[in-house]
Amino acid sequence: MANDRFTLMKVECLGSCGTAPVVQINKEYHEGLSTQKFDKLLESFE
Amino acid sequence: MNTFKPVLTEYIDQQDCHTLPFYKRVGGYTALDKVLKMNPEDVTQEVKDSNLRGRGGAGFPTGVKWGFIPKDSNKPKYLINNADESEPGTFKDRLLMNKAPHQMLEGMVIAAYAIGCHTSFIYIRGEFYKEYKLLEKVVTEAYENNLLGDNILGSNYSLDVVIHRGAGAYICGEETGLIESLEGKRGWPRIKPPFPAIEGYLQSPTIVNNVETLSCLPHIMNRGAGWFKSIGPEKGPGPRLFCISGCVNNPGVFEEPMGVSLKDLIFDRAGGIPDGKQLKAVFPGGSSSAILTADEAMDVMMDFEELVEKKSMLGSAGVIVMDETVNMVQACLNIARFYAHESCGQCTPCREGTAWLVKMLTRLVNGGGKPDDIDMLFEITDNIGGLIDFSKGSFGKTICPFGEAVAWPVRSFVEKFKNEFMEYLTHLPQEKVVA
Repeated sequence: MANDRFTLMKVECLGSCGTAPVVQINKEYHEGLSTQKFDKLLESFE
Repeated sequence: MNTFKPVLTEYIDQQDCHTLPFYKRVGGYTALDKVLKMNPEDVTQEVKDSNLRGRGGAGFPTGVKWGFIPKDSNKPKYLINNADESEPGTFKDRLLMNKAPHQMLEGMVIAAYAIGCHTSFIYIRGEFYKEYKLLEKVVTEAYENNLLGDNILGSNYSLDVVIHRGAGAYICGEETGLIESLEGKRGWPRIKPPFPAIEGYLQSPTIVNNVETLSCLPHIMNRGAGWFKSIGPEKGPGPRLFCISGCVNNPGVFEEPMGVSLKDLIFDRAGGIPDGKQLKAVFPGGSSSAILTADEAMDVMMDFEELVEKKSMLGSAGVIVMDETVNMVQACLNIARFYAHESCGQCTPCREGTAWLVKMLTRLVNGGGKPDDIDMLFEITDNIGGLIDFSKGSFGKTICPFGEAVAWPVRSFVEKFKNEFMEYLTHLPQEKVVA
């Protein structure tokens, strides 16, 4: 999935099940996410 | 009640626990100092006596593995630290690298000294970028403090450590796939024998050890094999990092003695299952281990031998907990999909079989299942991972154990929760398909 700014990919494993859900943005991990936290995170890239 | 004191993770809650000054303050590198004054053979013997078994998944005795290094070979010897942690459900090595990197590095130097190696590698998975940066710093720091490089701690022993980043392939955690990858090739596992200890990296004797295995070594050398063996079952003793994830209140890494009960891990350490739901099934040792039903799980010790008796395995000690709300057919599809994605494609049974499993399970969850599908699922898993007769230890339709790693869990799902698979043949459950 992609729009003009972000490409979102589902990946198989980030080695971080204890703090799932996890996204990796570029080289950085963002752990223990919720939908709200994820929205906030995306906003921080605006 | 719980008198066990963590060994590997004793200091991880403290500030700056990853730094060299901190590690030295708590006795770091004293084991190395001691080891460098010993005969390498005596170091190997001590590790053999400790009965330390590999923490990566296969559980092979570490000292015995070292002992396979040919004594008369004039080729260089290599040590590889397997930090490619990629078994679903496992996240302990990352913790050790973040919180106790010097403990791991000290273990590496001890292992390298024991096998007569002067160039060693850390093969770290590509996603662990932060950990990679940290290890770079740690290694540089070690060079500056005479803990790596020439004449370590004034001895005449020298060792270089090179950090190599993987590119995120599951198969590169398998030791021969890892070696191929390190040589710059596609990570296709090699046929064994020859085992890496005879012909590994650049056709030279090579030992591949897991992060946690190496982290145990300073403690064994400091406190002795007898102390190590006194923790947990004698045939597979020592402290162990258990990773608990899935349907629990408090997921995370818990250090416990080997042989701890799975029930205690789930309901005590990990705080039980949220909202008072019932336990349904557990992966005891990463997604490659056969699942245990709730009844089986409540009555098992986390010990190599006992889990083999239960037709599963301790593997990487990645405990994945599933509660009553988990749809086993969907979960099985999820697992199959992972393996189909990660199959390296070298062996036909695995490359084709994993894709078949995904196609069949997808068809099943979409309502297109056929009456023979259940039998065919068994047939396919048997064709990928051999007819599973644990008493005969039947392995071997593929070059590496990946075949078994997909066949065992998938078969266990279908066997133990056959009803749920059968239900899909007649009517689709309420939850909508996520395929």
